[in-house]
Amino acid sequence: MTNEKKLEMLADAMGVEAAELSEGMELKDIVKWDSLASINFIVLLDDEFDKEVSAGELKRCKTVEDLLELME
Amino acid sequence: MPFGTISNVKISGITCAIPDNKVYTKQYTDRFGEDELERLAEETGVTSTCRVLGPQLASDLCYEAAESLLNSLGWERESVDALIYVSTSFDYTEPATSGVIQHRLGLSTDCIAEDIRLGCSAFVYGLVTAGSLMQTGGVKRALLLCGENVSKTTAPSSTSDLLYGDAGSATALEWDETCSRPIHYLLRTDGNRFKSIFSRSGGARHPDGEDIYTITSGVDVFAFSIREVPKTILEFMEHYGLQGDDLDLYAFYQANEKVIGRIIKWCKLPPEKVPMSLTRFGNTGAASVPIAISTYLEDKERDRGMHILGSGFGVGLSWGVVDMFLPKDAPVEMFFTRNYYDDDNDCTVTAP
Repeated sequence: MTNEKKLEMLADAMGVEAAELSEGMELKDIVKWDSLASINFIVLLDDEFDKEVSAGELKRCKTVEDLLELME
Repeated sequence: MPFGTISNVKISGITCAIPDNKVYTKQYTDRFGEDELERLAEETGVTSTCRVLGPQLASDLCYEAAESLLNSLGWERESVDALIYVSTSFDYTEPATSGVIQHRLGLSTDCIAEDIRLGCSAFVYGLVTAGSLMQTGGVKRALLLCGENVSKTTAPSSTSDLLYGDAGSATALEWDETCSRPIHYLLRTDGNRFKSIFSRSGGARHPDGEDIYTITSGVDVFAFSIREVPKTILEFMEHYGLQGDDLDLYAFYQANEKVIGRIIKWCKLPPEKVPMSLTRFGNTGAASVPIAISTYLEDKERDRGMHILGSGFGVGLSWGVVDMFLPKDAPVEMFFTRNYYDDDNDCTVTAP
């Protein structure tokens, strides 16, 4: 899967436009990256990537790129 | 292996009392903005809750539910041998709230009254405790009261606090040797995660702290709810040889639509048998399971008994699964109330 596609999915989970996200962005600067978005992201990994991520793993993610890396 | 079976205990009726005070999440538009509240509704399924009125508390809702249920069943007050109140909402630091309710209901002093401090898993733990007590021989009739006034202990500082509604419930249990359907259970606790849903101050460890409101680590609790809970339900069903179609109703703790949706998916449950009472009342904490049962059954004609699976999960972390049989003729009721207890004058008052 291309990073472009992953960004689209991530943007959807956050409720923002894909154009608003870039790989280098820090999550702390994204207002919409809150607990609801995190929950959507957990569901996304579960549904689309058959992957379980712990809350701890998610907390260690600092940038959009870190999230994309989980989307394998 | 905290699996177990409780025999000869009949569920004689369930009544729920809801505060007559509907609060819409959109009332908080000034604080959170329209977009954020729309998103909340979309993500969780909650657009309104019912919250206690002024001095009204969970114990008032449970009392009203119990009073109504005793009258429906025609039970003499002297015949109730035990009252178990399960909640995270208490009237006083001491004594136990169960004693206050026992007094208001006019039950005999030959009655065990005790509080259990659990929230999300209240009903399943309470059912097992009351049912186990009945196995000892001394308790023939018991009232299990599960209720919550979470709206008083969550600060609407984030939108997730708007998800909580208040409610009370009463479940009547009766020793009945002709009852052929046992209650099964599986209960679990993970105290390692006690801070996942946490009120730090107000107890003896931090009596003067300022952080008295409940803080929920949403992501931690969500991850727990969509993993451990379905696993536990599947383990329970496998242990007792239950298939999805064997059950008539699945009554879950009403966390939010997404969590319940994940449980439905993972356990492959028929969605039409899984009520979402949260869309009407929000997350009603300790009262969730009886509220879900009442919501599902309130306008249904029952031509037979119902085999129900109940599961509560959350604060503790504490969780569990039970299955139980609700006889065809057992009353299931739900009503709204504005009543509360005036302890200075020892009387019930109706809020204006």
